[in-house]
Formats: sequence, C-alpha cells, structure tokens
Amino acid sequence: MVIENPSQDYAVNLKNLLFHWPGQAPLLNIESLAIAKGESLFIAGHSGSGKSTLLNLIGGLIAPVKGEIWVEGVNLKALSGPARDRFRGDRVGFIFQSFNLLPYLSAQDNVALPAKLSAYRRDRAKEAFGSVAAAVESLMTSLDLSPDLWTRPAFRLSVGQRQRVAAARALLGRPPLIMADEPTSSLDADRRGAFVDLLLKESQKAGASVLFVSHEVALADRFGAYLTMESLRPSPKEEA
Amino acid sequence: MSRLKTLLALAARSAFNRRGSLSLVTVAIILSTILLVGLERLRTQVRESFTQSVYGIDLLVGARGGHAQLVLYAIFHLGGATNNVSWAKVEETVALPEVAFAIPLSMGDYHRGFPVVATDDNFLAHYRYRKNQGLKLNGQTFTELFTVVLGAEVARRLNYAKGDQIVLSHGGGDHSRVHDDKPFTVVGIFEPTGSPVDRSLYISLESMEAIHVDWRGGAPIPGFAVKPQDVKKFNLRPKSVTALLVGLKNRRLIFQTQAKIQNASGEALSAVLPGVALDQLFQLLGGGERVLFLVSILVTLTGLLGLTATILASLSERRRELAILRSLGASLRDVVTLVTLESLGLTLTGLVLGLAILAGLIAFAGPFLLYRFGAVLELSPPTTREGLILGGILLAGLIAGLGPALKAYFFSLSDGLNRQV
Ligand SMILES: Nc1ncnc2c1ncn2[C@@H]1O[C@H](COP(=O)(O)OP(=O)(O)OP(=O)(O)O)[C@@H](O)[C@H]1O
Ligand SMILES: [Mg+2]
Repeated sequence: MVIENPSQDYAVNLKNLLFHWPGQAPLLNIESLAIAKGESLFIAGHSGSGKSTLLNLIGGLIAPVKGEIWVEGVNLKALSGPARDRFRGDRVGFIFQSFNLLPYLSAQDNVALPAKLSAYRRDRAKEAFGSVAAAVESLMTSLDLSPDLWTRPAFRLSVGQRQRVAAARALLGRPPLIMADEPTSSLDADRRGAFVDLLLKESQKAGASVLFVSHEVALADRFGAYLTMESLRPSPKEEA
Repeated sequence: MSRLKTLLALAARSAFNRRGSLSLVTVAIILSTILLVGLERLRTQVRESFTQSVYGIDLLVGARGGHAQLVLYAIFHLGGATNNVSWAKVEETVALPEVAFAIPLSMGDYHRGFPVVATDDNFLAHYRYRKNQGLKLNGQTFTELFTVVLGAEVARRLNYAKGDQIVLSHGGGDHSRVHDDKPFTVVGIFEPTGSPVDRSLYISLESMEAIHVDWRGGAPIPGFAVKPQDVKKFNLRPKSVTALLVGLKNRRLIFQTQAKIQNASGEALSAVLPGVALDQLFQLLGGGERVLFLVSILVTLTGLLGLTATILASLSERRRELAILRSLGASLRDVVTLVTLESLGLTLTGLVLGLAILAGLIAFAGPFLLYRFGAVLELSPPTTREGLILGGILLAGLIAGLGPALKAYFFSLSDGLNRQV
C-alpha cells in the first residue's frame, strides 16, 4: 500500500468505489469523484440514495467493499482503525442535520471540543488566533452568535443557533475538509440560505474544501460544483 | 494522557447530566460497601475480642477434664469445674522455673446471674486483654475482706456504684442459698474492656474462704454461724482454686511446660493453650457469620445489577452523544473507555463514600457499642481481607460495566455517524 498523493490538489479523491451494507444490494458504485482543495461541492440525492453512507466512507467510519478513498492525499486504507479516527478528528469537520451538540456542554465548550480531542486542530487554532479560546470567540462571532449565548448550555439554544454552533465547531482549528449532512433541513426555509452563505464564507476564510449533501436542490447554486447521487453511478450502457 | 483527561472530563460531565438515576445506583453501591465491609469488620473484631479475651496467658490450668470446658470456665466463667486444683498443686505450679506468674481463679458464687471470681493481686498485675491492654480500675482493689470490684457491664446493668452493699449467692440458680450474713461493699469498678471481665465480679481468695467458713458441702453448717467480724479468727488461706492462668518466662517452652504440668505426679491436671482452644471454640460458634456474609454479597450483586441496568438504559439516550464524539475523532476504544469509566467511576465513588460513612459510623458508634454491648469496633486501616472485598467490589463494578461497554462498541461500529434521531 502506497501512501503517495496521486494529486496534491484533491481534498477528496474516490476511485472505483464499491459499497453495500451487509446483506443489502449495492448502494454506492462510484467510478471516480474528485474534490479539489478549496472547492465547494453540493451533492444532491433523494432519501436513501446513500448520501450519509458516502460521508461515513470519506470520514473513515466504514470501509468500502472495493476501491480507494483518498482524503487530503492520504489513502484511508493505509491507516489502522485508530489512526483513521485520529485522521478524521484532525482533518474533517462534520455538521449533521440535527443533534450536533453535547447537550451538557455550553455552546463555547462544544465549539472548543475538537481542540480537546485533536492536537492538530488545537495547534492550528492557536496558530491562527493565539489561543483556543480566542479562536472559539472569533468563530462564534463570525457565525452571528452573540456573547450571551456562549456560556449557555447547548440544550437551551434554538435550533438555528445550534446549527451555527455546530458550524463553528466544524471550522475550529481549520480542518482542510468540511462535510455537512443536510445541516439545513431542521432550519426554517428563510434561514437556510443565510446559514449556507455563512458556512461557505467561513470555510473559504479557513481555506477548507466543503462537501455538502442535501436533497434541497435549491441551495445548490451557492456552491462551486453540483452533482447528484444518480450521476455518480456508472452509466447504464456500461452496466449492460 | 491528556486524551484520557479529556475523556474523563466528558464522562464526568455526561454523568452529572444524568445524576438523577446515577445517584441512585451510587447509593446502592454505598450501602453494599457499608454492609460488606462493616460486616467483615464486625466479624473480625468480634472474633478478635473473643479469641483475645485473654492476652499474655500461655496456659490455662485446671483439674483434668475437657479442654473446651476448661476454656469456658477459666476464661468466660461459664459452667463449672468438676474438680478443683488443690492449693499445694497451685504452689507447685507457681514454683516451676518456667512460670513467670500464675493468676489463681476460684469460682462458684454468683451475684444476680453474674459470676463472682475470687483471685489475688496477680490478676490486676498480669491480666491483659486484646492487644496487651491492662485493666483500668476506678476505685480500690478487692484486697480487703468483703470488698468487691465490679466489671463494667455488671455495674451498668445492675446500676451499682461504689459504696453499695451487695450479697453473693452460692451457685447461679434462682433458688440458690445466699450469703446474706456477709454482705460485700463495692469498692471499685473496672472500665469497659469488651472481655469477660465486664460481666464478672471480683473478690479476694480470702473473702471467698471467709463466706464459706461456716459452710460445708455447699450448705451452711446447721447451728454454726460466724459473724463477719469474727472470720479473721479462722485460717482464710485458700484450700483449692478452680483454675490457674499461667504466664511463662519464655513462650518457646509452652509445650514442654504443658507436658510437665499434665504429667506431674499427684492429682491430674489439664493445661490448655488458650489461643488454640479459643479459635476452635469460635469456629464452633461462628457459623452464622457466613450466612450474613453471603447475604451481603447478594445485596452487593443486586446493587451492581442495578448499575448495569441503569447504564444500559442510559446508553440509548447516549447513542447520539457517542456518534458526535466519533465524528470528532473518538476511536471505538475511546467510546468503550468512556462507558467503562462511568461504571468504574460510580463504583469507586460508592466505595469511597461507603468507606467514609462506615468510618464515621465506627468513630461515632464504636464507644457506644463497647459500652452498651461490649463489642469492640475500632477505626483502623483496612485489613487484607477487607482490601480483597473492596477489590472484589471494584472488579465486579468493572464487570458490570462490560455489558454496556460492549453494547456501546457495537452500536458505534454499526451506527457510524448516522444515529442522528
Ligand atoms: N448502519 C447501517 N446499516 C445498514 N444499513 C444502513 C445503515 N445506514 C444506512 N443504511 C442503508 O443504506 C441506505 C442509504 O442510507 P443513507 O443513510 O446513506 O441514505 P441518505 O441518502 O443519507 O438518506 P437521507 O436523505 O434519508 O438521509 C438505506 O437503504 C439505509 O437503510
Ligand atoms: Mg442521510
């Protein structure tokens, strides 16, 4: 197994990826998918098309049946389980549809969490802001979270506020890749666009690539690139 | 290391968030600890105060007979001897070169059910109980004729004080004849010891002779009564005693001396090692403690099952929390650590709190128990067996946490990041 970067420009590079859950029909069959560094990609797909599964694969939580997954120039297959976990903690910021936060921690403690679990992100946060606390405050301010919310326990925040705290946490320590799994579906329609704009602006500031999966196609034109899950499948001709 | 600290902090915050249900299982573990360790402490100390009812006595000497019987009357003043030891034999034994001291005991009289023991100055000088403690006497000793010193329990139960007059009875039965012509004055009271001394009355050998000068064969001689002030006209030297507590100059000569006493010519004597005999007697009596121990183990198991059930139940609500941590780079091992830390932390908290409460109870109730029941309960560092019990509880807590940890492992493995609702 070689851990050599096929191209330094790719944040994510999938090759001949094949995946099915145990005992289920093939779910993902992706010949090639590349996300350049700094790029923002929107992948649309209906429910059950495998969007969350794809993010699990790229995050290294599950392994493909076949094919290769390269993240930030590292072949995930070359890493041991714990090393993959550490790699994910270092390089990937996740945002989910809902329930992103540990309810018993305050907003700022939730945002600071990646710095606690990853030395890489702690160092990057310090490097950019002088201290983790300063990085947390700066990110929360950028994401329109007023200081009176910072010390509030997560379960006392509104849904929109929680999603912005989750975005701040994903961005802390500038991980090179942000992956968002329908982070807007729990928000009001009029707040969705604003949230995505904020996320993209901050990701760009941090120089992070963004992989955003959702079935809300209306959000797609805010991104640099747009794909559907269906288009990732090999064309029917080839299959025949 | 810092990662473990982070996990520890998260486990603590998460547990605090669920403190309602968790504090209940902690209370169960606290109670288990108090019960198990407290019972063990009580058991060992009851055994200790039983087997160390006498201390520094190397041989019990009495007329030839059963060893258990000799222990019962020589130490606990229970029952009686079939034969006495003649005074000549006492003097012969004391004169042995190996013997450092001998405490003569003469028994047979009672006061309201409590045994009266006649002895001499050697008793106060040499009697030791539990860990080499000497007797503490409030008041005068019993050297004067017709004076008596009371054990602590006797004084408390019968509500006697110095200066009170009491009458001894011949034998312990309800219809025993009483020596009401020669009353005794209470001149001193021993402090509580947790030994048979508490339940006895002490007089001198001469007093014992004096109340019996006008007796023969267990009954007053008809038509012959001697007034107390006249007894000194009689020879009050004891003719025999019931038992002798013998201390040796060199403990290594115990078996040799035992053989010497038992094989001596003349009246046949028995010599018994009190430690061995007391141990045997305790094993005979101490069957109930094992049942109690078993019950407290069952109580502990119940507490730990509660722990497992509570943590398992909380896991479904923690599934999300663990998925979030996984997304932040927590490994499967971290997840297992987190869940295990919780059960271990709860067990440890229960253990420490239980021990603290137990220590408080012992410190607070110990003196009361000694005074009221003659039971000795002292604060002291855990014994090896108690350490084993504590380790056992901790290990059981770890095992109790294994189920939840495994469950967390498997659902973290299958959930990935998908467990969002
Ligand atoms: N942990 C799992 N074990 C087994 N099968 C799974 C698991 N997670 C998802 N699946 C199956 O894989 C398929 C794709 O699921 P996935 O969650 O990736 O879809 P999705 O595109 O994210 O859907 P949605 O838009 O509803 O979130 C579904 O049929 C689902 O039942
Ligand atoms: Mg999904």
